[in-house]
Parts: sequence; structure tokens; C-alpha cells
Amino acid sequence: MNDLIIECRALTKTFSSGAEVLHILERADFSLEKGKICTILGPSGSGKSTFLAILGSLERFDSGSVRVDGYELQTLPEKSLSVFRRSVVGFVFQFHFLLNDFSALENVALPGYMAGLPRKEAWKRAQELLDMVGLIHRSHHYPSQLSGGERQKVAIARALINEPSVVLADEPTGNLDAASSKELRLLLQRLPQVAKTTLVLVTHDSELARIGDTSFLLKEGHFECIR
Amino acid sequence: MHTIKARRLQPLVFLGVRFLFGKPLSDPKAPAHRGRHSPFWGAVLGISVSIVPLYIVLFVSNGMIQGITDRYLETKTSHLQLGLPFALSDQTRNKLRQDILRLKGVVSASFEVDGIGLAASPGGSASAQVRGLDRSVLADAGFKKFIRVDDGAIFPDKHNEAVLGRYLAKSLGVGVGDTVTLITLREAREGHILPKLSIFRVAGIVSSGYRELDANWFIVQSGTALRLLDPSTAYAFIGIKTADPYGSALNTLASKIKDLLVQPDFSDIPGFGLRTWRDIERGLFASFSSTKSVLILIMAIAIVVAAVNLGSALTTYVIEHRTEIAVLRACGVSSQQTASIFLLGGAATGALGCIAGSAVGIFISLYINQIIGGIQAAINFVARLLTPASHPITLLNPDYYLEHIPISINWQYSILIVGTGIIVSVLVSFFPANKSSHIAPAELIRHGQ
Repeated sequence: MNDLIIECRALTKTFSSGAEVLHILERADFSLEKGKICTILGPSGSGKSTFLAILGSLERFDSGSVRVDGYELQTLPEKSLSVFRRSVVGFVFQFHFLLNDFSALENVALPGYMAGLPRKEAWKRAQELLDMVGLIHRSHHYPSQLSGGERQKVAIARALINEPSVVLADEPTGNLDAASSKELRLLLQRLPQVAKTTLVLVTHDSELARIGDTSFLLKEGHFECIR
Repeated sequence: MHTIKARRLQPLVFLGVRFLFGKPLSDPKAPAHRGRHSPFWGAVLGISVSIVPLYIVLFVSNGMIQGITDRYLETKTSHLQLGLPFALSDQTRNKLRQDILRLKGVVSASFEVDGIGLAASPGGSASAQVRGLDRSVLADAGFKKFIRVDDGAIFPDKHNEAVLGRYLAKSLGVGVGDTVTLITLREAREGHILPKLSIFRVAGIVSSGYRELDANWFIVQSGTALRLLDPSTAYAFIGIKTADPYGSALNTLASKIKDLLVQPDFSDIPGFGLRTWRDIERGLFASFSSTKSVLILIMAIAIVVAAVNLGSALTTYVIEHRTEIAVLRACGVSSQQTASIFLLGGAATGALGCIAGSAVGIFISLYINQIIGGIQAAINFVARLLTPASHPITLLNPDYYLEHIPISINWQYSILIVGTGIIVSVLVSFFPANKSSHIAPAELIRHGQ
């Protein structure tokens, strides 16, 4: 199984709320092959987003092991997490989280520029990505001048700027209308081919869930492969 | 697996400036929203405004002190004073003066006798500093530069003539041609002190431009002063001027003069005292210096307050923009980079404020006389419109200050002010920078839920 890009073993994550302890993940196992699309479904509050945050090192976990593209997250010191985030994973959130004071082009280029790409190269790569998502004509527009779907496309382009091994998308169509959702679905579907990446997608949208090569249901702290 | 190391400063500067100051105004497509109305322009303005008075106080007080010092040195104290016995013969005194004049670096040397007396006229009476000057003082360019003749002559031609300082003449109510009585004290036989009354015709009225000096000058010929003043209370000296009274050459010259005095020609001088102007006016200049220090301290507090406002603005910004900061963290911006953005932003805000404040402060300092004159004219114009009978107002009464404020721009001070402003801005940015570095990217996940 050398092609595994994500491998989680006995992953446990709990949240404490006063005396109450919420078991989000209970010795859960999960693995995914490189270049695949994986969709994760589950009821609200089941821990889908938390799992995504753990894969992206945004959230620490209690026990178990998580390996993403060779990085053992349980042993990774705090200082190395930002290196991991900028070089291995790309995030797409339910809300676009674009920076309002920066144009679409700048929003896409910034993570690359911050990661050490020369300015010209970061801007050139950002233009290519905006072209890829069909928004090259909107490069110099600001988030407030873009539609919801366009903002999410810009967010996808931003997630790809550092050529991540894994893109983690958390309900990316959650705030979009049907037409925009369809456009985004088509874009996400071809992502592994055009961006040579692996996609982990958390969604409630059954249409979007169908684009996955594999699908898991997260329920009561465990993953159940449903496709 | 690849790693990209981000160690360059440029992206941090780019992000810091855009984060704190918003979009470039030149961007025609940029929509108007909070970026353009960044609170940091307010912080820049706050620092600028706090810097301006510091410059004005510093440069004006420097100029004032310089102007007053120059007047003291050129019209009263001289650069070096060689104290002489009262009974020294004219021949020895003149020989000594000539020998001093031959020393390298000496531009003038003039004999003077100073004492105190009471000047009286039908219009009033006032204490007077009797200055017995030698005619050679007229060859002194420094003396002539600062002495303005209001009326009559600059020097008394006759032994019974006196030249008065402007404010002494004013308090006595006399003009050129009037007579004044000078009362001095002389020791009589058996230790008795007797007043001596001498009548002088006012030959001229002069001003140094500084009231403190003009208030008591009673200038007579040196020979007259030697006759009128008592040796026990008066002081005779040769006032020596050099090319540079502020440099170290003054001490070298003092040593040369001391060497001169041990020569056989001057063996009849029982004792002498050689003092530099710094020794003579030590108390006065210590007072100037401490006043200036207190003013600068008060002004510096204003800069600290402005810098604290900057720190507060940065902290508010960090609190209000947690999400954007979390986005950056999720995109791989490290906590150190996040902190650096705010430190650089603080430094940039401080630098902009200091530079803008310095420019305005220097400009106002350079044109302070015109600005005060303009404000005064405007106030008087409005006052005349409102009450035609009103008396004109004088903002800086020349009776108590120099008539014209001399400005002394010191670039070293400017560099010090800008440097200090930036350092203080960076220091107050540490707290918000630290706060920003602790924002966890996981907040984005919770935001979405």
C-alpha cells in the first residue's frame, strides 16, 4: 500500500465541555490513496470538519497516528506545522475566507508569496490557477465584487498555489445556489487530474458526494466505507 | 514531499502594509470599504501630531538658547575673561592686551571694569550694572553685530557721558541728552563706605535684543569706571574673543594666556584669574539646559501616548481580524511570520508618523517667526473688527524673549527623534504581535460550523 497518501490509525479526538466529554473520533482508522477523491458524509456534529482539521494540522488529536504525505502529524513539532500546511495541504472552507483588501489574484498568490515563491512567480502561478478555474477575467476584482460561486473558485485556486499533495474541502458548496454548486462540483471533480492532487471532501450535498472515488460515512466516531 | 522555506522579508512587508493600510489608492478597481479608512492612518496622524511640538520646542529652544548665549558672549561676558588687579598700570595692561592680541586664535581683546550702582533721574531710579568699556571694544565685530543703537552714540565719547541699555533708559524715563545720576559706593578712610554721586549726560541708548541685558547696562568709559567704582566690589578684566568660542581651541588658548602671564614683563601682577564663558555663566546655562530638558521630557510623553494609541489600534485590529489572521495561518503563515507582520506594521506606522511629523515640525520651526507674526496679525485683525478700540496683542512679548526667534536645526536630533519614535512604535507592537501569533487556524473550522 505504498500509494497511501493519508493513513490514520486508532485516531481519537474528544472535546470537553465542562464535565461532559464528547467523543468525536474513537480509535478511528482511515486511509486514502494518492490522486483519489474521497468524500466524507455524516450527520451534523459527527466530527467531519474536525477530522479535516486534524488532517490539515489545524487541530491536534488525543491519540493514534496520522500520516499525511509522509508527515507523521503526532510527532510534528508546532514550528513545523506551518511548513506542513503551506507545502502539503490546501484548504477550501464552507465560507470562502478570502481577504477583503486583496484582489482575487492577490488572494491566490499570497500563500505562495508567503511560502517563499518570488513575487513574479507567485503572481504568474496565481494567474494560471485563476485561468484554470475560469476566472482570469476577474483577477483584479475584489471579493466584494465576486459572486459566491466565484469566491469559492478563487478559494480553490488559492488552495492549489503551493501545489499541495492533498486538498481538504469542507462543504465547499454549502453556501451556494444550485447552478454555482454544479459549476464547483465539475471543477472539484477534475482537480486530481489537472492539479495532480488528492481531494478529501466533507459534504452534505449528495450530488457532490458522488464525485468521490470512495465515500465514507462518519458516525459515532468511526468511518464506514459506503462506496 | 517538498518544503518551501519562507525567510524573506518582502512578503511580510507587503502583507503588513496592505493589512494595516488597506488597498493602494491608485487601484481604480478597488471598492471603497474599511481598507481605505484604516485606523492606522489615524495612528500615523497621532504620532505625527505628537512629533511636531517636540521639533518646535527643541529647535526653538535651541535657537533661543543659542541666540541668548551669543548675545551674552559677544556683548557682555566675552569668550575668556582675564581678571586683573585694579591698580595695574595702564602701560602693563596695554602691553598685556597687545600680547594677547598677538596670540593665534584671538580676534579681539578689550579692557573692561564692571561694578554696580544706582541710576536715578527725575523719572525714576533703577539698579545699574556699570560697565566701564575701553574704546577698543568698537573694533570687536561680535560686539557691533549684536548691539543695536536705538538713539545717539554706541560709545560715550566723554568721561561724563553714559550710554544706557534700552530698558534702563525706559525705567529711568530718559532719552539722549538727558542727565542721570549714578550713585556708587567707595570705601573712605577708617573703613567707612561713602556714596559717590556722579552726573552723566545720556549720549546713547543701545539694545542687545535681550531684555535681561538691556535692563541694567550703564556704559561709561573704562577710566571713569576705575575712578567711580570701589576696587573691593568692582571687577577689572580683559575680555578676549576667539574665532570659535564653542570649540576645544578655547582651552588651548587659555593655556597660552596662562603661559604669557608667567613672563617677567607681568611679574607685577600679584594674581590673576582666567575664566572661560562656561565658567562665568555656568548657572545661567544650567538653567537653560534644565528648562529645555523638562520641555523635551513633556513632549516625549506625548510621543509615548501616541505610540500607546498605536499599540491599542493594533490590538483592536488583531481582535477584529482574527478570522483573516487564522486564514493566513491555515495557508501556512507561521506564528512568527504573523507576529512579524504586526511588528513591521507598527514600525511602518511609527516611521510614517515620525517622518511626516518631522517634515511638518521642521517646516514650522523654520518659519516660526512668520507663523507667529501671521497668527498675531490675524488675531489683531479679528480683534479690531470686533472691538475697534482694542490694543494690539503681542503673542511673544520681545520684552521677555528675543525679538526674533533664531532657529537652530540639528539633524542629529531629527535622526534621534525618528529613531526613538520607530523603536517605541515597535515596542508597543509587541503585545498585539504576540496576540496575533496565538490565533489558531482551527478557528476557521469553528467559524464554519
